[in-house]
Amino acid sequence: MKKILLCSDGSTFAENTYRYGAWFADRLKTEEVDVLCVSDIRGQQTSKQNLSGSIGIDAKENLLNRLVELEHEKAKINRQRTKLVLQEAARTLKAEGVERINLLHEIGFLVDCLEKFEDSCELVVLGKRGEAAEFASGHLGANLERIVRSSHKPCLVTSRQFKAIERVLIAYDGSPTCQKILQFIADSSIFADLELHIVTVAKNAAEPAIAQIDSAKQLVQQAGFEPVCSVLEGHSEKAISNYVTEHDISLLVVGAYGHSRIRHLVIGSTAAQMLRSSHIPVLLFR
Amino acid sequence: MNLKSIKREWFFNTKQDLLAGAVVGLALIPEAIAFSIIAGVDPKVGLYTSFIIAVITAFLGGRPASISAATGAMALLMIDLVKDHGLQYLLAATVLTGIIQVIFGVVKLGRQMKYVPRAVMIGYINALAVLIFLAQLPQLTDVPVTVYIITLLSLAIIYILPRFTQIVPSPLVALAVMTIAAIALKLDVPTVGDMGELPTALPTFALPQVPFNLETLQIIFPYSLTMAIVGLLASFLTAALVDDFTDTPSDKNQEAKGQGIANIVTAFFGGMAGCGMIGQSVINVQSGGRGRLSTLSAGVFLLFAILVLQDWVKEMPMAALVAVMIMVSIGTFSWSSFKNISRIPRTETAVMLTTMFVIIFTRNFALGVATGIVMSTVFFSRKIAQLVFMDKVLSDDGTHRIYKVAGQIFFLSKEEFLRSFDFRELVDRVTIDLTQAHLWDQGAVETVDKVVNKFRRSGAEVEVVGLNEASATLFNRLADNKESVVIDN
Repeated sequence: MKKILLCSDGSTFAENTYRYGAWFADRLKTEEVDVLCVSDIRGQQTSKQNLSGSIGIDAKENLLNRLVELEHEKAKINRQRTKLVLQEAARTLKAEGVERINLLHEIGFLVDCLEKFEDSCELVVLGKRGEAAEFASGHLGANLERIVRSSHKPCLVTSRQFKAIERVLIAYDGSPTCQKILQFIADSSIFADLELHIVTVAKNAAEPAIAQIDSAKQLVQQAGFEPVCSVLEGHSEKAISNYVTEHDISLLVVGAYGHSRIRHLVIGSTAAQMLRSSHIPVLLFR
Repeated sequence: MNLKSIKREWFFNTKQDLLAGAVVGLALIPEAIAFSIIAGVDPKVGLYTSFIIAVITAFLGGRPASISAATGAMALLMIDLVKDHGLQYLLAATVLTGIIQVIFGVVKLGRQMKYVPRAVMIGYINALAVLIFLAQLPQLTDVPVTVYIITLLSLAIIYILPRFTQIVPSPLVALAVMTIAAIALKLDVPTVGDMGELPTALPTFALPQVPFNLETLQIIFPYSLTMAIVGLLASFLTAALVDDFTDTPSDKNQEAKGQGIANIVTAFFGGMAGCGMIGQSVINVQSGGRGRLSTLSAGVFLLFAILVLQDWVKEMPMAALVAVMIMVSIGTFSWSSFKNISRIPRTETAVMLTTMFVIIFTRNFALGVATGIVMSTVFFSRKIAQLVFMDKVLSDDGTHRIYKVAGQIFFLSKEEFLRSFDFRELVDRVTIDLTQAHLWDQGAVETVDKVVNKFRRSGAEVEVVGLNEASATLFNRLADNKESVVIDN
C-alpha cells in the first residue's frame, strides 16, 4: 500500500508540512497518510533543581514520588497537546482532500520511531525545524539532519511558507542517486505537467558536464517532459540558490549525502548546506 | 558507538549534569575519607578510589547517572584483610575482585539478580545504614565535649539549611563552617589530617607489591569473592533505583563489566575496591543529574577539589565528617520498611530482619544475603505447597470415583496430596484428574505411583488423566505404573 509519513510537532512549520504532504499524496496517488507526532522523553524531565546535596528519611521514596508526580503532570499536558496537534493535522489534511488519515502518537526519539514507520511509506515529510528552534532561521532542526541521514526513503523537508508547486529544479551531478531521482520522476506521474529544470554545477562548463546533463535530458524527455537544462559555474550551493531565485523555483530535488561519513562530519554536505539556505521545500533522495 | 548515541548518553543534559556532578563530587569527599578510615587505610586511598571508579564507570558503566566510588559496604568487608596483611594485599584483592566481576558480567549474571527477593534487598540496605552509623561511634567515644557540639551543629546545618535554600549543598556548608570555626577558635579536636595521608598529586600507576603465588591467592580469594558479589549487589540495586527515578532501562551485564574494570584499574593506582552508591545516586538525581556526564564530572570535581583544598581538608574536624556520615546512614536506611511493618506480610518482614541482623552481627554481607535468600525460598515453597486442592466426585451408580487435583505437587506438598485420598472406599474405578496440577519432581511422581498402587491393591482400576506435557515427560521417565496414564492430546 502506498503511504506518506508526515512528521509533526505543532511548530510553525507543521501546517505547511500538512499542505505539502497533501499535495504529494495527491500526486503520488497514495491511499493513506500517516501523521506521526513523537513526544521527546527528554523534554519531560524535571527542570527544578535541588542542589542541597542532603538526604533525609526515606529519601529514595520521596524523590521517586516527586519525580513521578512532576512527570505525570508534564506528560499529561504533553499528551493533551499532542492530541490537539494531531487533530489539527487531520483537519488540515481533510480540507486538502486527503481521505484516509492515520494519527500516530509515539514516545521516544523521532529517529528511532521513524525506523519503525518508514518501511511502509513512500515518502517522509517533515518541517525544516522543530518547535524547539522556531526562530533560529538559517539553522536546521536538531532532528532533521539525523533523520535525513538515517532514513532510507525520500524525504521532503518543508519550508516556512507554502507555495503551490509549479517549477521543479533538479540538481544533477551524475551520481547513482541522481540517476535514481530521474528514474523515479520518469516512472511516476508526480511532476507531470510541471515545469522541470535540470542543472549541473561544474567548475567550468566543459565537455563532461554538458555530456552529463544531455544524458539526463534524454532520459527525462523519454518520459514526456520538456526540461530546461543548463550548466552552472561556480560554487554549487551559491549557484543553485541563485538559480532558484532567478527562475522562481518552487521545489528543489537533490541527492542526499553522496559523500563519505567522515567527510560530511567535518564539512557537511552540499545537500545539508542547500537545506540550510533555501527557502523552498527540498526533496532529498538517497 | 556512534556519534548519535554519544550525544544521547552524554550531552543531552549538559548543564544540569555538570552541576549535579559538582554537588556529588564534593559530597563524595567526606564519604571517601570516612570509608577509608573504616577500612583502616589512608584517606588518600579512598579519595583516589572514588575519583578513578567514578571516571571509569562514567564511560563503561551500564547505568548512566548512577554514582560509583569507594563505599561503606566494601570498606566493611576489607577491615580484616587490611589489619592482618596490609594495604598491598588489599590492592591485590581489589584486582581479583574486578576480574571476578568482569567474569560475572561476561557470563551475564545480571539476569540472576532476580533470585534476590526484595525483602533481602531491604534488609541489606538497612544493615548497610546501621553499619555505617556504627562505624562512626569510635569517633564519638572518649572525646572532648567539643566534638559532640560540632557534630550536633553540623547535623543542624545539614538538615535545616535546605529549608531555606537549595542552591548550596548543605553538608558542604556544614563542613566549611566547622572547619573555619575549628581553625579560628583553635579547637583541639581530632581532624582528618590525624587519620593519615591526603593526596597531594594525581594517582600514579604501580603494581600491588605482593608475592604472586598460591598462598597470596588463598588469602585474597575469599575476600575478593565476597567483595565481588556484594559490590555487584549494591551496584545493581543502585542501577535499579536510578532506573526507577529516570524511567529508563539499564544494562546490568555492562554494569558488572564496568564495575569490574573500574576496580581493576583503581587497584593499579593505589585504590581500594568500590561499587555503586545508593545515597550518592539519589543526591545526583535529586540535583538534576541524568547522563553519563554527571558521573564523570563528579569524579573530576572530587579530585580537583581535593587537590586545591587539601590544606583545608586536613584541618576538617572529624566530628563534622561524622555528621555527614550520619546523614548518609539516615538517608540510606529504609524507614518505610519499619513504618509499614503491619502491612507487609510477616514472612517477608522476618526475612528482612534476619538478613539485616545476620549482616550486622557477622559483618558479612554475603552471608546475610544468602541466609535471606534461603529463608525466602523456604517460605515461598511452603506457601505454594499449601495451594493444593482436591475435588472428589462419585459417579451416580457409586462405582466410579474421580479425584480432581489442582496445584503444584512437589516434595513439600506430596504428603498433603497423599493424605487427601480415601483408600478405604470400595469402588470399581478410580480416575485421578491432574489437568489443573503439575508434577515437579521425583517425589511427586513417586507419590502418584504410591496412590495408584494403593488403589489397585484394594481392587480398583486406576487411570491418571490430564497430565500436562512437562509432567507427563517426567512421569513416563520415572513412574512404575506408566500403563495407567491416559494422555489425551
